[in-house]
Amino acid sequence: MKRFVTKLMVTLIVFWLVAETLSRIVIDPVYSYVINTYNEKKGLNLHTLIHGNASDHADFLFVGSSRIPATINPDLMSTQLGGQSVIVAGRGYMTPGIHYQALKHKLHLFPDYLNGAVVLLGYDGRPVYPTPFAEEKLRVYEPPKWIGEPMPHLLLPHLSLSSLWEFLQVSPNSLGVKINLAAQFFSAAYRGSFFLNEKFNNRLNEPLLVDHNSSLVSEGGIRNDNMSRALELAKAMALTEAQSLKNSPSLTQAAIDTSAFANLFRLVTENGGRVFLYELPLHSIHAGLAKLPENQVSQKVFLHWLQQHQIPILNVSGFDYDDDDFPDAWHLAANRRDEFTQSLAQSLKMQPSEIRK
Amino acid sequence: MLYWFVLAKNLRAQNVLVVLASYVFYGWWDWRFLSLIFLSTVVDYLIGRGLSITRQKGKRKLLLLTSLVVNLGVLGYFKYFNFFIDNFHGAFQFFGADISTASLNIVLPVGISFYTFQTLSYSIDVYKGKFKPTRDFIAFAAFVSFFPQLVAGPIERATRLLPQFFAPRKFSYHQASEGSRQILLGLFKKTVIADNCAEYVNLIFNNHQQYGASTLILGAVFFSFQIYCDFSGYSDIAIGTARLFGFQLMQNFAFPYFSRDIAEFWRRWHISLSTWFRDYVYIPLGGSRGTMGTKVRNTFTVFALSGLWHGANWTFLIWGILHALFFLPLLLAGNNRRNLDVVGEGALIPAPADLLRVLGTFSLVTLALIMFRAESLSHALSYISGFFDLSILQIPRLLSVKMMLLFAFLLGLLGLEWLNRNGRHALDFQRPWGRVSRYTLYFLMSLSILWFRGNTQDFIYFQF
Repeated sequence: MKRFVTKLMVTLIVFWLVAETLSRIVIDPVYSYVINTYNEKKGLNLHTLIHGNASDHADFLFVGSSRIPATINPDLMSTQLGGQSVIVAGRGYMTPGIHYQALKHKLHLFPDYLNGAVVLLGYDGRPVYPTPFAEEKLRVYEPPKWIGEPMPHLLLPHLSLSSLWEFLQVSPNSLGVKINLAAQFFSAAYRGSFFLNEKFNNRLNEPLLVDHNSSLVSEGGIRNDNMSRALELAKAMALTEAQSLKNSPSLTQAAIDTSAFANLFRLVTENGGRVFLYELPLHSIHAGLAKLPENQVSQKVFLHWLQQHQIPILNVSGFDYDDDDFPDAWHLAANRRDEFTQSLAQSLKMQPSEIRK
Repeated sequence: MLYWFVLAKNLRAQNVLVVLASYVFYGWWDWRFLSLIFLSTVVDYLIGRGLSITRQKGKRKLLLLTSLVVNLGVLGYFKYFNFFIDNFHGAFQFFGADISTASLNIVLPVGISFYTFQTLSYSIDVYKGKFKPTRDFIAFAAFVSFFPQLVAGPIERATRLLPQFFAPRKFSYHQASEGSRQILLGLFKKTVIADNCAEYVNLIFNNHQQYGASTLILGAVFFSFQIYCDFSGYSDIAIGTARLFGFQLMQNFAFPYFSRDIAEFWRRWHISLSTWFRDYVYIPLGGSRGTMGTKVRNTFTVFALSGLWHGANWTFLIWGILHALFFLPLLLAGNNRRNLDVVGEGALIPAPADLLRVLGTFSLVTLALIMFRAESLSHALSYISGFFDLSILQIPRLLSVKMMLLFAFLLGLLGLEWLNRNGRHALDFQRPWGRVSRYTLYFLMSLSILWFRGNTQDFIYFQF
């Protein structure tokens, strides 16, 4: 028995060491490039792999969900805004807690990161990040099982040892998610497995023979070859959100003051930045949520709060769209992204001159 | 560690630990159904004791009948009640009568089809005098609930497994190594192949009207590999785990996709179930004795029951009957007992004729499995009708880099199985492999499990 156990342990340790080494050399640099949406995407090359590509300042930072990269082309936006740096930090399942922690971590590494920056969040007609900050702080999104697994690796790039400890103590996430994140923090082989698994299941799963000029979403979208299924999913999610709206009390000013949005706003403005919202193009299923009677009171309170804090909502005029522009009922089609980016850039340029450098 | 170090010299304590671990394992899913497995254990233990005391034929028959009624009754209620009620209702409606029936919201206990058959085999073997009933309740409880094989087999016989609970178990390095290898193989089959196949199978079967014939065929082929790797993968994990505890479970799969005809396929697929039906249904019905009509009747009965065992749906019954129809020509021609050896014995590459037979058998099995996977008869027929289209000549629409990697994994597994087809599983090396080669293979399989596992799916056979 002793011989078997010894051999097994040695085998497992050697396997882990080799996997760990391979992961740190080969996977981690790519992982870091891809997973940290707050890094500037300058192109993956040997220099980037060796030195990393963490940006030390953002002129324009787009924050939010996967709808953000579906609407904003950072290179085009940068060109339109006179070569200023544009970071698109939206990704699916990024919670307000993760965005907050990401910015906090960036400011710890680069204190001037947000100095003079404009942080833009997408606006869908409903209060943005209205949930209490205490609940959201460091929270990793745990979706229902029928949607998928929690994605704690989205928080991973923004943690140091001390903030990991804070996460383990403060986060309202389940024990399983906490253990998972701690394991990913310490083990490159473990975190690499999730990264590779996601790429294997998503990127490598894109059909080879589909026309690459098709209107399937370019980044972060829900890959779906079947529109009726996508619509079913969108309707199911919208119904869930509508039910949630019905069951939640209307927002008050005090509630917004302690919301994740307000804390994000304070973090940005206390570090020299400004917050803008911009109107997102939406499929009619999602646009309908804003028109629900249950949303109207909260909406008024939120708009008043925005006014008080001088947060404009950029209207993207000149960009016309309809439901056909959402191939998965969620995200803007890839072939409309540049057009939307240009329209938004025009709206940004029309803002008061203190943001035009 | 507790099992081998602390309790090594105390057989009874080891058995108690097995029972406790098995009940915790089973109860983790739903503790309420522990009562069913306990009921089955107590009933068959007492029936065994009763059979050891009673010599009167009538009383012995009554005891056996009690075991059959209790075990099959529990199975019938949980698995088939709603099916029969719905069809009963449907039959009356067909004739214009409308009767009210109540369907119940019944949850199917995991593994019920497996452990009820296992305990039934004990009662029947004791009745027939093939096995001496045990007085040791703990050993018997351990036999019934043995956790590695409790929820998805192999369905063990009392003559094989129960004596192992009476014999002192000594840790064997060779057994433990073999067991670990087999667990690795099972995990690879399940997580890398079955779960990745499942993604395409679900997509294609759930939206089959959107896809061309070539994609539908691909979906069917993927399902063949999904169900094989899922089920045999679980069996590998079960057998490997049992070996770590010093137990030998029976081989449940012997490379069935290398079969040259349907008869050989059924000697290699889910062996524990097919032999159970052979020994407890086919042979008592007369088996291969009697007229050809009797043999045909017995064959159809066994295949139909085997289909129904898998689930309460007409599709499973039709799946079983399809296999009976495939088997029939062999039976009529008296060719159902050829191909008892391993295909391409001693050869690296199979003979063209053998290859054709293997592909032909695989095609029949895959066709029948469409019935197995479909949600209803109409779904299956609609799926199959999609094959007859000119799009059969097109490259499948879903072809992706991931799919090609999956093909590579599949070919790798088939290659390993081919090389070791004389062994008990794909990692039972028949020719010497150097240590470096073997460990490189284990390393690559482990990395694949870590990096290329599919989205987690429940084991298919857990639903039976």
